[in-house]
Amino acid sequence: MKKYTAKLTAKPWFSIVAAFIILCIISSFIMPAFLQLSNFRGVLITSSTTGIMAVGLTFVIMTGGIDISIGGIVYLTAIIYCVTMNTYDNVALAVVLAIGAASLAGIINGYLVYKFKMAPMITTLATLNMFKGVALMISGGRNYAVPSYATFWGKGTICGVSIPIIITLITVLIGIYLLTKTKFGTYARAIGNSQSSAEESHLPVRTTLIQAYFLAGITSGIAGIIYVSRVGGLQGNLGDGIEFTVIAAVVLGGTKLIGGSGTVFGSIVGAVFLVIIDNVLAMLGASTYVFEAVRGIILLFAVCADRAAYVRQFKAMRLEKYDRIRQTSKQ
Amino acid sequence: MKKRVLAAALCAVMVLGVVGCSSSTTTEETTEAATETATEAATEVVEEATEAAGSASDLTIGISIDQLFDSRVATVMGLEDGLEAAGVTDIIELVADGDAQTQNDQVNQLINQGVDGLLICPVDLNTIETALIAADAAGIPVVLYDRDAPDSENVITAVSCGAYDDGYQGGEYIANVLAEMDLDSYVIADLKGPDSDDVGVQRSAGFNAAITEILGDKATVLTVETGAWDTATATANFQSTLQANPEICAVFCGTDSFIPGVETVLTDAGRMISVGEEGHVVITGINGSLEGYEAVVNGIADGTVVMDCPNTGIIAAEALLGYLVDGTTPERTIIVPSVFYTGDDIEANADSIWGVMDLSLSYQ
Repeated sequence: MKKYTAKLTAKPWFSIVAAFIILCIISSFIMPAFLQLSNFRGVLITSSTTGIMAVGLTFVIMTGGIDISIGGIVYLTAIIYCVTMNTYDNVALAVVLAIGAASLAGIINGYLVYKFKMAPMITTLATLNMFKGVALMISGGRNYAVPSYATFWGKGTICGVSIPIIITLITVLIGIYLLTKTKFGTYARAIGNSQSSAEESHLPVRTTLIQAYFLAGITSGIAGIIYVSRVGGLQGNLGDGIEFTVIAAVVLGGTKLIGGSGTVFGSIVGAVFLVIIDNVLAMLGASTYVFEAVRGIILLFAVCADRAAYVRQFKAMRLEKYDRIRQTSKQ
Repeated sequence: MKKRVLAAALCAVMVLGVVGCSSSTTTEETTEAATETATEAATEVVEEATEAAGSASDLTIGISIDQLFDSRVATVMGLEDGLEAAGVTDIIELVADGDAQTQNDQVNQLINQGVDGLLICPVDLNTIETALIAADAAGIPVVLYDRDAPDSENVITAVSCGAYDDGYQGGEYIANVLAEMDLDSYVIADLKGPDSDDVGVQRSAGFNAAITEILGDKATVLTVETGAWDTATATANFQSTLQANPEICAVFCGTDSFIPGVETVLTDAGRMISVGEEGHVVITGINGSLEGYEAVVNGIADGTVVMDCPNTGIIAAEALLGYLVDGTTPERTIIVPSVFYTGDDIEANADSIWGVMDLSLSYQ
């Protein structure tokens, strides 16, 4: 039992899952409505966009990178989806063009980060503005309404289950598979631990980095379509600041900002956790400033936890090294 | 010169057309007032544009835009029409993309470029004061459009759609519909804009005033935070509020953009019932965008307050040019009246609703 508990608490997502359960218990005492199934359904739908994006971003952060252009990709995708729907009235074409653009945006990010060895934050800050600029050029600053039959991705259901929840589930399963069962996942972790070592070991660093940013791009694209379908129209501020919520979700989920380790499961729990915080505050009728402050405190807590984990890992590695040296000298 | 006069005449025809088409509304008094104001404004634009064409053509005007979205684009097009009608060709436009500090920097850039006058839509009513003081120190007159900074003494006028009255109209309609139901209590959701935006604050204040006046203690208004007019935040927070307060019987949307999100939440909760049917949740919006128009036409929303965005732009441009060319000081606040349309009259007045009348609207 002790061994099992130790194994469980060692999981990177343990803290967030524990915090999640505690929050749910407290909230259900304060507001009985919180425990209703319809509320959880609403929370899951709302967290689908950030959750899907968190899956893609987990891979980027695991390689030691960051992508703050995902908010721009959400906006760009949403605009392409809306404009195509309003121009050609073809859902399939709109989805293909939107996802295609998002994928291309991700590939551009990955290529720039690898090719020019620039800091991912600066590179993606530049592309964030670039994607937003292109999006504004396409839209001309207009708001677009999405025809009701094209809002299926945000409002539709299959057998009573909301489409955003189904898409999130599929994305999470694919993410877990990629991370745990493929070489890509292993390479991403290896690059995050040490890119130079990965290069010296002849690992496909370029391909892996581009694939990681591609995943962040495509998941942002999917989120963009769900986003605009759910709110039924496009606004100029769509996706503004969403990158920080997604980064917070990933870090809360136990993925280290310095790269090298993390889980897709943790990231999705982190995304749902953040939405539950908003859900509870909205149910209590809290002021918007309280929302911001609470989010800030949680992010700060996550970063501190991340730093503590790094220090712990560093100490463990050092002890391991000393042990090895001691053993070698004994021999 | 002929071109300028022709442009001014076309501008006047457009404004008169807009107003002329809005004559058959349910709120006749409001419409008449709007017609009078718009007609007077259009006439003044033509007269002053014709007279001032010679001197105005030498002016350089800076336009600071808070952010680009439908209604703002419509107002900016009105500004351009008003300026061009008077012969101003040197127009510098900068968009702050919703960032107050960026806007301050941009206004300072315009001051340094030596513009003769500034037309500003502030991102934040407090933050903009620094830029307004700088403009005043440089001797550059400022006219605010669409959003006022009520405490500022550094602007010659602010031309806007009367956010308080707009909110009041929406609240008045909701209150009257609910009063007919004759219930013991009413729970109403107010999806309000950010506190840093005077428009959001005033719309909510007007709405609350109407509700209190008509329904008194029977009404409970639940404020739903929407961030910076963010539809996704509005949708998520309304969902949570509805969960905690299932007795909500009406929703006041601070902008039309919130209506589709409200529809989504009500649909998810199994409470989306069309206007006129039993159990319908009363919904009103403000703006006059295509989203609002379609929501009312399709029976999702009961009505929407339609702003006169193009005319707001024209009047703001005219006020600035009047000050620069003739030295005319306008009133500190100029209100351009809005009109509340319901499903009964919105289609008949589609030609006068800016979100519908110009679908090719684009800002390039």
